[in-house]
Amino acid sequence: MKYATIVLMVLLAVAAGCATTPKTSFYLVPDPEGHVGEVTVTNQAASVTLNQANQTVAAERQDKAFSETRLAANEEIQAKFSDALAIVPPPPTGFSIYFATGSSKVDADSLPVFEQILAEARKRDSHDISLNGHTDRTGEADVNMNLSLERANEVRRMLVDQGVSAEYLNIEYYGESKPLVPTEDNVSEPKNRRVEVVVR
Amino acid sequence: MCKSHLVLILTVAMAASLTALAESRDDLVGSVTDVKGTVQVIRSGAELAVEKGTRLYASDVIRTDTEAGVGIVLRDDTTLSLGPSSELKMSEFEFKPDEGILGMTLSVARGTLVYISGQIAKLAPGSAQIETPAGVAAVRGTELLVEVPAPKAGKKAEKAQ
Repeated sequence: MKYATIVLMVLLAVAAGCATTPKTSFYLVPDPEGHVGEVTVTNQAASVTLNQANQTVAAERQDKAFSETRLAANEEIQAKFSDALAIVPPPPTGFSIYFATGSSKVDADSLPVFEQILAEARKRDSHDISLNGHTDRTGEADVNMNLSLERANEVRRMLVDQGVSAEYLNIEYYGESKPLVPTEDNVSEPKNRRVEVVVR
Repeated sequence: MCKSHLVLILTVAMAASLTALAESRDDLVGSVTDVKGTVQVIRSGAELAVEKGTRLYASDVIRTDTEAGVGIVLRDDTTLSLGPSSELKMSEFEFKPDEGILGMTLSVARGTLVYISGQIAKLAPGSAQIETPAGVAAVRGTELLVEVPAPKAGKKAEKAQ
């Protein structure tokens, strides 16, 4: 009985080996925080949902049915993906720098944040830092648009002064259009007078 | 003294024009954070060498050599990496959360991809998609690994008959 099972397994393995046109395979794995989400893979033949850690499914082409889903061993995942996994970027890190009303002068409280930004940029040798300028809703929208640019420019100037290459810095500015804390017009809100810095 | 000033002015001017160039393109998708071996981007028919910091735009195709790899971070904080002999196209990328416009399609032609969801997959579940020759994966906030085997020339010829 045991032998029969083994023979059958070998035959199946051989048959699978012969029939192998290489398949495209999908593996759902826990993200860096350990969270397992959900993926639905769809082609002309069917649709399959993966929602368990290490669950995998494969198909040969758009018009071919998917394999049964199964749970893959970590070794199998490493064997296929170790090169790609070794070069996954660290998650981007965000910082906020705050300003006084109507001003592009950085709040004294925010000055230490520059040290953190520089440390993060150095740690990952960042070549891509976003500076996104914002204002609160005090004053006119078009004036605020300019002010948000001035704030981002000021942060850029300060980072460049600290030795960050200007070509690594990308400025975007939104005026009062993207408040962190939504308010009525002409409301002063310190949390909205900010430049969001993202180090990648 | 004069010379160093000139160099400084030129450097500042170059940096300014680089920034202007970057700002003038609103189809910026992301940037390259790490490169191992030979990696190229095909953009408007031209083949460019990819290095750390290379900016990526919609419709770019990224190709890694046989022993190469590349790490990429997109504007919505999606992080990606490709293993050796891989090819990925940034088919579509829309990230305007304030206007409710969110969507991303990455197309893997071959090789290995590691995909870790960013804000698009979190804010609009299912609107982040990964196309492959065997089907489309719609992702709802997670990490996904995809392997697409290299097409075999001989097999293709057989099937064509």
